[in-house]
Amino acid sequence: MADEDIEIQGHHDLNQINIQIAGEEAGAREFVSSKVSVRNNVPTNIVTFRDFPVGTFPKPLKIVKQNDPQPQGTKKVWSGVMVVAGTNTAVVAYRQS
Amino acid sequence: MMSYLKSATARVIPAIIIVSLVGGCSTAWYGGAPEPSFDVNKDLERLAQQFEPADSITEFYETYKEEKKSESAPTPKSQALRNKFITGRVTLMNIRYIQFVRLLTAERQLLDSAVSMLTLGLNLAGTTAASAGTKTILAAIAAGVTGSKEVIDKNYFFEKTIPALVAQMNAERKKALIPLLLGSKANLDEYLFAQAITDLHNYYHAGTFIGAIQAIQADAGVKEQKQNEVIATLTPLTIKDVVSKQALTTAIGALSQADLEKAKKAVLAHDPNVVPANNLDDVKKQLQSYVQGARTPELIAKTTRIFREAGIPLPE
Repeated sequence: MADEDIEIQGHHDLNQINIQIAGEEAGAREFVSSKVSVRNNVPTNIVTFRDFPVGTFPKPLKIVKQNDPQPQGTKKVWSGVMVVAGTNTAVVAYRQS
Repeated sequence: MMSYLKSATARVIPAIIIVSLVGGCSTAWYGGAPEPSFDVNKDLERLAQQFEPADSITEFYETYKEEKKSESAPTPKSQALRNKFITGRVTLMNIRYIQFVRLLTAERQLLDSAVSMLTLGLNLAGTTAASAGTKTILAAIAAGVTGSKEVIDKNYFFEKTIPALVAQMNAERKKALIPLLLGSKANLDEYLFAQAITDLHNYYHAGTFIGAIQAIQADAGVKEQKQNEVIATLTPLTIKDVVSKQALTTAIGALSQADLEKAKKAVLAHDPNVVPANNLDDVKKQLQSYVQGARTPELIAKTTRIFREAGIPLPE
């Protein structure tokens, strides 16, 4: 179960961040967490993914702003701060259960 | 009432000062280490006499000139003098460094605390002596208590930072000692006296705060650069791209023993230089790594095409 850090740039909106995470998870990876970092002098998101069994991918994940309602049929898997559309934003990650 | 407060204050202030000075000193006068079994100051004095810096340099150059006049190549005496100079300087620096670290790790904090507390105490004394009212006296005592806390807070951070700097200085000094040790084994043409002086300066510098901080900054820069080089950046995708990539992973999961040759063909199509594995599970891993690496719409489309051309069935 190897972990890998991958950058999702902070200028993307939440919708594009969700799509990029889904794209990474589609390759048999699972979102673990994210941290705000600075890369090339720009605030950005360094997202940790963990290998998922070959030939499979995890159930859909959705990241929402902290005050937004929890999507139905999901469970919280992570919460923290991400750079969304250039702004530090408190977010929560829910995964379909 | 006022006279009672004044006399109470007169008792409290010296008590604060004494507790600050004596209480701290007894805990860690030798920087959290046993008292040295040798007298550092005496050793330093003797070594300084033996390796008198100015004389060593003069002696070296005079001997070197003489040797150069009389002999054409080897200069064994000068070489021995160079090594004596290096050894002497390194030893002196080591002793100074030990003293420096001992002062840093505990006594410096205690001294600073003691001085700050003493200053506070004196200020308090001045305030109280000039005051006539109860409020002034109480305010002064309160200021003393607050001030003491600030002193303690400052020293807490000092205490947390210094060990890290000392550890960095120790590491840098070890590195800086290597050229001196190697140089001492070399002859004078290979390791010049001037180079030895430069290396000694580097050795000294490695045992300073500035040297440690510069090394930490350099390490952090290298680590950041390394991180920047290693971490991949995701590119914008569409839902359709995600669905296509999911289809590729699902197709890998559905591969059976009967599909082994197709899977191998797909591996070769991705990279002709790679030797496909012989068992299905390993070939699946190889294919999955290609799918994982497909992080742009173009690469996802390319991988999809390769799978199709290899005959790997993709879910609709």
